[in-house]
Amino acid sequence: MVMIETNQLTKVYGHTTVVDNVNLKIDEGHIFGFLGPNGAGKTTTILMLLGLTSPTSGTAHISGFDSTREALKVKRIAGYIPERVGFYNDMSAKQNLEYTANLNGIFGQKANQGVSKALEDVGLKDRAEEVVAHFSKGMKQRLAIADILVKQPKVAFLDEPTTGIDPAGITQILDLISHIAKSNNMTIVMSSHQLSQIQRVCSHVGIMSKGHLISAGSIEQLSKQAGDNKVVIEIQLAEATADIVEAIKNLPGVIGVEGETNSLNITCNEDLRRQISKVISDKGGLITQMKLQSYALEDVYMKILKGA
Amino acid sequence: MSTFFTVTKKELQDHFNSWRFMVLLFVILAAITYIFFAAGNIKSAATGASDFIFLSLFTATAIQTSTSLIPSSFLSLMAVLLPVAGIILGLDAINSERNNGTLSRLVSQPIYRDNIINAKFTAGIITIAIVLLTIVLLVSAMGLRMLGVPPSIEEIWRLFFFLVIGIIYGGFWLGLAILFSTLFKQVAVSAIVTIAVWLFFVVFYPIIYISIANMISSSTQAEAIKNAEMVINLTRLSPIQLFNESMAVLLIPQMRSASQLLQIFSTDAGNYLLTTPLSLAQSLIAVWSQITISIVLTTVCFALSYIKFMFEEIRSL
Repeated sequence: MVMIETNQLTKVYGHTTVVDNVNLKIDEGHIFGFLGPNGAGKTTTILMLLGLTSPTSGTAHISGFDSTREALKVKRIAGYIPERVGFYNDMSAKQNLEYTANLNGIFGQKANQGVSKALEDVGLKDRAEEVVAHFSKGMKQRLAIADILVKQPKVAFLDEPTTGIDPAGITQILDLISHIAKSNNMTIVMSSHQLSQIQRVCSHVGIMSKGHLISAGSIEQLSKQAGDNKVVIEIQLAEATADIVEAIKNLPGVIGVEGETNSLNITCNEDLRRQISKVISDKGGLITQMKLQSYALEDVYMKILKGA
Repeated sequence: MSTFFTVTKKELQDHFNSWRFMVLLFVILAAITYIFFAAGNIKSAATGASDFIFLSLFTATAIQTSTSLIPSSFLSLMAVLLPVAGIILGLDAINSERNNGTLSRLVSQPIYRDNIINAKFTAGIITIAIVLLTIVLLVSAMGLRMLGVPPSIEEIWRLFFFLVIGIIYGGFWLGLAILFSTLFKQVAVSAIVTIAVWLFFVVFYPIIYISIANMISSSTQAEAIKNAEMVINLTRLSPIQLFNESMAVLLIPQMRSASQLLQIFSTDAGNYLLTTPLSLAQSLIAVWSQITISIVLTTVCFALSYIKFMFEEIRSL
């Protein structure tokens, strides 16, 4: 089922077209990565989807509701974490979330339970009574995720959820995002300018640049499309004998093998991980690590970044 | 509607828990000291001459000063403190939420956007009402103890209207502060601009109309009256003047019309007044236009901020 749909969505500020005829379709349950450099129009698109900004032309729908005309219905089923999310600093984490619950028509015991559950899910249960002013950036971001969970939305929009957070915090937040998406069957739209983060959690990607949606689809689709169907597989072996390398080279679909000592980069027409591992084990080799690299997608993204 | 009450409740909690409320407590304390002095003066001067001794608590000169910058009576103190209360409660209403990043989270909840600003205004008005009511009750209680004269029914009604007009007056400054907090992104800028507008009306506006009055020469008596009227009308462009006039007429029943005010505040008051007091209804009619304009001004301020807030785009910048 299509959860999010835009039709020729356009936003013009003065003489600049910030979002230009964007047609987007996101299915229910997908984690969609919105990729693009700063100023590509990601945030504006999200704001129009949420009904916070009215489009100059075109339409946006979430779960069948028109984002502009039925903004309140949309806001009831959609959660949003803005790029610079803020909380009332003089209120505790719990009070902040209870306020959100009340605004969504959840009161009393039910609100209390929902808030405790959400704080537990993001690992802030111990600090529930603490004033938000003492929270670090990473903790605030997790609190923002809890803030969304309180609402129990069908869709969540996360605008640059990892900016300004240390690597450990980023891992924590990305894991949290994929976890809540799975356990609540939530559709998530996450914007970022970092491909690596998008690749870690998202099943589908849309790349935006200068207001245009350049391409959208599943990560595999895009990688193939971008790299003329080339896939790079990186493997590490306990010992890379010439025998093994030769056998890989002879596999149908393998275009080239390069690399030094025990790590090899294999370029092939499609995902040949299964065949490659079989060949290696047949030859008595041991794989210590194997990774499917999407260099191709990164190339495309870098080209866009440079162009912008 | 329930989201409106949720936001109002939260805003009220904010007001009561914040440093602003501590400032307002000092306001209450200041008001009480004034009454203390006023009651002493009334005791030593007037003894049973007037029918409205209790009301004179609020208007009697409490502190003799040579400069107009220091309020002399409880009433003139209120003319200063109500704006302060309104400005304190409204000066960062919208822009602090915007700077904090809470506004974009708030507007993404299922809530009509006007509920946010309506609730903020309502919470401010309720706070002002509570403060003013507390002051009036405290002052009445102290006056009752120190003078030993209970208020008559009419005096209570007049005090009730004093409360209502005081709240409207505080509401005007609250509305103005909220308006500037929607117009300016920085809290410091909106605060300074609001305070500047207030200072303009307190300090500079009198200088302007006094110098205009001095420039106009009048040879005949008819001309002199005409000029005086013009100056009075000029003063009425100031919301502070509107408050002073309506309050004076309501709390000093002997006062026949607001135009006598200039004389009252410049010279020894009572001499120009007929001693028979007006009925409450007549007093209200005398200042009806002042009250109406105050309400209009308050509404305009709020309406402007409402419009600005409704059509503004909220981005997390």
